[in-house]
Amino acid sequence: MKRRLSCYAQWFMQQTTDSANPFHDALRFERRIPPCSVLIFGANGDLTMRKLLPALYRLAYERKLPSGFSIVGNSRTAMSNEQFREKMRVSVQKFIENSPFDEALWEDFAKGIFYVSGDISDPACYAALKVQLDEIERERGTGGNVLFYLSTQPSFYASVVEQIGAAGLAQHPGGAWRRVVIEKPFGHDLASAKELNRRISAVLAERDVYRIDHYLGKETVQNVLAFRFGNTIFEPLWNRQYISHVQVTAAESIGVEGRGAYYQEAGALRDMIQNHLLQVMATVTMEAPPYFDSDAVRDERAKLLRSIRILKPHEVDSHAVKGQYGPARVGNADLPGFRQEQGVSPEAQTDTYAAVTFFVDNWRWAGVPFYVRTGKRMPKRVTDIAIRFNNAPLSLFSSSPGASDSPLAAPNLLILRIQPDEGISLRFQSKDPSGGGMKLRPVSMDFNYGSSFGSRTPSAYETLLLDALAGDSTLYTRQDMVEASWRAVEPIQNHWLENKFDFPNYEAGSWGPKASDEMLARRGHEWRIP
Amino acid sequence: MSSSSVNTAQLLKDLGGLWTQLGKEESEGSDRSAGVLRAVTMTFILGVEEGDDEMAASEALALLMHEHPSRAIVLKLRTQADAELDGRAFAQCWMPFGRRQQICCEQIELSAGSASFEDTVSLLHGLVAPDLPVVFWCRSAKLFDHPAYPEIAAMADKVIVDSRSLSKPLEALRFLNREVHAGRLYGDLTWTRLTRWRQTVSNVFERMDCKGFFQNLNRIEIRYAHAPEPIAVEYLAAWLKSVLGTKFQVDRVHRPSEASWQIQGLCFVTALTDVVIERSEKGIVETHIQKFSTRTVFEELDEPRLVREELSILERDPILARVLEIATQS
Repeated sequence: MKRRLSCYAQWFMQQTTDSANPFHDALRFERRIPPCSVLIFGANGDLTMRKLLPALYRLAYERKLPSGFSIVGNSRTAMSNEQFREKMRVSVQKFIENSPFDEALWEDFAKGIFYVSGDISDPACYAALKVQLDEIERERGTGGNVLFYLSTQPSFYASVVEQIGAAGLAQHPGGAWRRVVIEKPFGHDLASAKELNRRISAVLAERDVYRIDHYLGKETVQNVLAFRFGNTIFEPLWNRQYISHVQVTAAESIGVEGRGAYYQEAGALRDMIQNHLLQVMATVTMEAPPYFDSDAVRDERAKLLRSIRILKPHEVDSHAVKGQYGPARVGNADLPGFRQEQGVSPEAQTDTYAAVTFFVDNWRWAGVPFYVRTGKRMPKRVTDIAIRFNNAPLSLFSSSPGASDSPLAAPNLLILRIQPDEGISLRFQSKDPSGGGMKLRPVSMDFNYGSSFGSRTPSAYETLLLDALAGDSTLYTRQDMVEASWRAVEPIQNHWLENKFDFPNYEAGSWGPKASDEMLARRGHEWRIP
Repeated sequence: MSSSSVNTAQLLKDLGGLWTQLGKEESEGSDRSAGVLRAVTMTFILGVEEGDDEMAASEALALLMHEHPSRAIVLKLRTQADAELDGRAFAQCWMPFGRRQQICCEQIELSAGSASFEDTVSLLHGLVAPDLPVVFWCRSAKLFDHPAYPEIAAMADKVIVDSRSLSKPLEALRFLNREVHAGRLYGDLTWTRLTRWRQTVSNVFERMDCKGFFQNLNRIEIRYAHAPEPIAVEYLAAWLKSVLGTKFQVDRVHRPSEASWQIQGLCFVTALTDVVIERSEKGIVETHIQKFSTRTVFEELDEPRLVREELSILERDPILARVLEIATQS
């Protein structure tokens, strides 16, 4: 039978890469993910069960994964494929959010799940993984593409990557991609971050290393980029001439929830500010990239992080506040203090609260304070960024309670709400019609993400896993960014380690230590209540 | 409201009154409520006809409003040809789960018989929300054939129809082809229903071992369940030809079945091995490539889901344009 193929199809056949699927419809289909496998180290852990598997299943449900997609789990616990599949089925059913569980789909999805037990410090474990991956490539047509996900203790990251390299797993003879995803923390200080990178980069190129910061995967953080660079009205005001200061708040109402032993070593500065909040701050303050591409966006973020002024030791006390919550009664519940939590030393010096005044030394932001705070056992769970504009230059309505020289003055405030009520609010002055005269009253114009886009928002892990499989590292942290943010917090960390603090210094259920309010008051500012 | 009092100013005044009232309720509200949020992201015009499953239409509208808060304008073509123009304005409010703030959208309903239906169109010009996109979902076959249709469609940035429910589906495709090539934005839910079929085919060709597959491809079979041949088959065949060439052999095979869906499967026939994509019971689609098989879920597709996909595309769809061109050549 004579066949006539279109030029497009003929061209497709001549291609050696998979970039020319003529059936693809970029307008309606999700991004194309090439055939591949994910190998999870630490697959018996909480992260795999609560986040990774539910996210991957959800992606399969939405037809976003390629056919033949496979998962290989590894941990020390001895388990058969069937036992591991059953365990994953239970956790997917339990932790999948806002999504149905389809038995028939699971049956097919589970066919692509495998388990290899073994100790990650034993080379034999990697030999067994190689056999499994080769078999999957042959049987399920994954083309040899593998994403290694390190869901292990951070202290194992470097050695696992080295073992991957030693076993010949970091390269594929046919040129398929091999990538590795690592979870924060990326080191525990600048020196250890550099050392981690040195050992990883001996095995893999930087473009194949995906450092996950799930904050950057949040839709609302990504929306900050859309808000800033998709609109023209705010960007001209986005500088020191119009902005008085910026407040970044990430508050949690819960305590350490059984993770006391871990948290005791980490602390709020390292756990939140060094990574999540500095990344968020960089997203809010970076320059516009020349195009929307992972390197271009990350170049700008990195440049901004490098511009953060490094505090001198004698400046730390006036620019940073360390806090730890003590016991309190909130509602009808008696909440323990941090030192009373399970696994925590009664003498612990850990920061469960940290607030820092950062400055960005570039032309756009010179002199603008960025107040960044995070804490546990705060009055509510909220993450937002508040951009407070300068007062009006002239007070036309001086007798009004809302006038700029009045104690009730309410300068323009732009709030980017990350969670839980994702959206954007703009506060501005309006004439109060009641009572006559020119009285001003602050009003708020709200954009609510949920009400304008009521569709289901993908979880951060769905977004980030899909990005890693597609080779898009825009929302991942690069090594130079990691090092720049360590540089910014290290003087504070060192100073806090060298000094002993009189803890607790704030009550559970409050907005943090008094010293934090005083830090802002010295510049004539005050924390807003989110 | 009598016909004499239906005018743009009155309807807009009624809407304004609604918001004042809701705002008043907010300030006097109970401590359980954190007020009302007015949300409008577009004007959404829904064209329906009296008696034609109005309940389903209003349920679909309510669901769409949750995800695309709009000023909704329902145009209802009354059964009685001489029924006079009638209109009312009201708010649709809901409390999202776990929130304390109600979200409210505006809804205007205009109805008239066939003889005076143009009266509704004259009001529309003043009722669309300014500076926001206008989308017209024509859910009524009678309205599609009504002389007022072109004027309503001309007001919209995008028009959504469902060719399979129109009186002459193939004629409708020709009409859509002319409109799309004249630069107008159209969505056809019959085409939208095929997205997941097309995506499944695309996924098959993402597999590296299928790269050389086209070299040996002889023909493609589209298997369908119900006679007469559904318009979806026309679309699917045109799409395959748009990729493989208009002369490529695409066979349409009727396999009678009690199934509720129209497309049963696709078979890519080669001299060596076939790729078969088949829809089975329980909404599952199985793909067989040599010894390898995989499954995909095809959830039940309701109208809001299809319209939602179309609302996400407010730009020219070049693939649909090409497919319409090929489909209407036959």
